Amino acid sequence: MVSNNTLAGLIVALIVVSLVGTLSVIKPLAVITGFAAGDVTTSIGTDITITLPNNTIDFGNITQGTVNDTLDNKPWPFDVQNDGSVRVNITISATDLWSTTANPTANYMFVANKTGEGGAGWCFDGNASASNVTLTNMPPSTGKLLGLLESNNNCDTGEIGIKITAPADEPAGGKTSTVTVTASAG
Amino acid sequence: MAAEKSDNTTLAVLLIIAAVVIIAGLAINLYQAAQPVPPSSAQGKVTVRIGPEPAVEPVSTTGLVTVNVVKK
Repeated sequence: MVSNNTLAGLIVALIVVSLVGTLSVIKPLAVITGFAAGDVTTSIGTDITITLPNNTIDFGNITQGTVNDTLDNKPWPFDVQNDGSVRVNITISATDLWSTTANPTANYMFVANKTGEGGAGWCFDGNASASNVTLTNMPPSTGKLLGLLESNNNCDTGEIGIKITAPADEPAGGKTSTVTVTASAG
Repeated sequence: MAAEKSDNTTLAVLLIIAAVVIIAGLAINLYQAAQPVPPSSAQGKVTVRIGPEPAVEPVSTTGLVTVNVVKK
């Protein structure tokens, strides 16, 4: 025969066990989930690279006092291409072409123009404030050529047209001018 | 006889308390089990910086214009 005191003790033990079990499985209020956070920082360096895919313009023979230019693509004009990672501003300069007339002279001119790339659009800023889009006397030192030439491979070229007029008193013979184009980050 | 009645009353009270505690614990567990599980989430930040940085020196390339002048 179990006494009442023993039963009371068992019931108290039952209550304690039940309380401990319940409290141990109650989830804390601040539930921890799978939240995760992190930062990724990537820097793409600046690369300024330009090339002249067509780097020679040969006008062939020209008679004293006559004009020739690349505006008809005969001969083919210079194409300047941005192979870097950022837009660039490009300047131009050239050594004298004629022995009788030094740069800058109307006998030796350049003009910035669009190429076929980019469809009807321009791959650079075609506004006169940014680019020399009208015939301009070739400067002996830095002169504006193209502004903000894009680096996107689908549209990253500009054309440099050249117009020459052989001075009437220019001695016969071969003439050469070195044209330098310089790019800086735009 | 009176003492036995008192013990039985105490036992009854304890049984009722035990029943209440057990039912309450069961109710709490059932309630928590019915709650939706908070979604797991992740958060990150990607920062990309494309130059110019720092200043890069200008680069140049050259071309040639050639012509042969002939007399009239």
